[in-house]
Amino acid sequence: MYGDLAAKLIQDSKRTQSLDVLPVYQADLVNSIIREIRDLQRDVKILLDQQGPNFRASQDRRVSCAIFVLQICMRRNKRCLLAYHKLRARRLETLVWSGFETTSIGTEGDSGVALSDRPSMASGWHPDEEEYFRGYGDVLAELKGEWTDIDLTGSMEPPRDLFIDVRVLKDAGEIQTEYGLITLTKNSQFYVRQGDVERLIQQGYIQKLR
Amino acid sequence: MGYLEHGRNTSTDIKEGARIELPLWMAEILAIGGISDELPTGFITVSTPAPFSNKVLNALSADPVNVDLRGQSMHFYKFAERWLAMTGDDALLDTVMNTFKARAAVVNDHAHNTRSALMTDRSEFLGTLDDTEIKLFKAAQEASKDLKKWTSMKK
Repeated sequence: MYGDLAAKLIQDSKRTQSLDVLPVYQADLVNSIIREIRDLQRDVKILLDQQGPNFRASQDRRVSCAIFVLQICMRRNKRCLLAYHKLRARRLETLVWSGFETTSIGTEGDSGVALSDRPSMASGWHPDEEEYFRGYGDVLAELKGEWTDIDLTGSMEPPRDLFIDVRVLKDAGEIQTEYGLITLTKNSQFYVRQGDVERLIQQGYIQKLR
Repeated sequence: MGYLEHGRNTSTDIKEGARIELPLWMAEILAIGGISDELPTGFITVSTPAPFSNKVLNALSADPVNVDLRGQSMHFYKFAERWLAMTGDDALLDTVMNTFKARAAVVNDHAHNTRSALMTDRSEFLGTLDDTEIKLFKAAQEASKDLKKWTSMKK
């Protein structure tokens, strides 16, 4: 029945709403729905051609009803497609805002997602989605560049203490802080000023200990 | 009502007066939309769906908490919204509103007390919630969790 494929897409969207990770882009489903829309359009054209140039809707209820049904199916499919893509686009935007980077090992703010999960987070995206992600990231970077004093994508939680305990997840070489040089080797712990290391936390080199 | 030609069986027309099942979004438009200014009546008429039958409504007005809403329809309230927008049935409206109020109170109760005296019928009741109520339940749980966290925070 027309609209069944679209219903599947909507079910996927509903599932996506409760997931953290964006599931695989349903390219096959989307393509089939587009094909269905084209078929419907073709059917409408055939019906209209049969009627001739002076067709008025009230003349033949049968035909006008058939055309009408085909038309609303097309609209329904379009609406479902738009809803699916909008949901995913909004998700991508949220990811950009949280500092997620597909190329490096980033953590989303302080939530400390396990490194082993990282590669899977950006998989299953459609190439267009990756492009959208990059483009949006560029726009956001431009916006952030206007105010250098404040990091718009930084953590929204006010810091509790001036100094925090951190553990190093990955070797990052040496960093210079106000209090001297700190060498970051894997699995070592430091007690450092929050402001210095916040950038490193976001990039995933170190992890905050609660 | 008119004839409908469905793509899956283009050879057969559906006769006037036939009863078929259509998805709500299609039925809504076909029932409401007129064909043109000369023929303002819709293509189809719709009959009351099962979740809003008299039997269910009576059960709801008698004891809203014990009715299995999910068994009637996973999206009972949303469905009722769309249906009422289409038909404007006051009796149904009142019943649904009262049901919601009564059940919401119980849902809230369950959300806040994880170990309550109602434990035995708790999982039973939770299994009868429709989609809207499940969201309500989750929201209430989150709120209660946050409140406990906040009250137990030092400083």
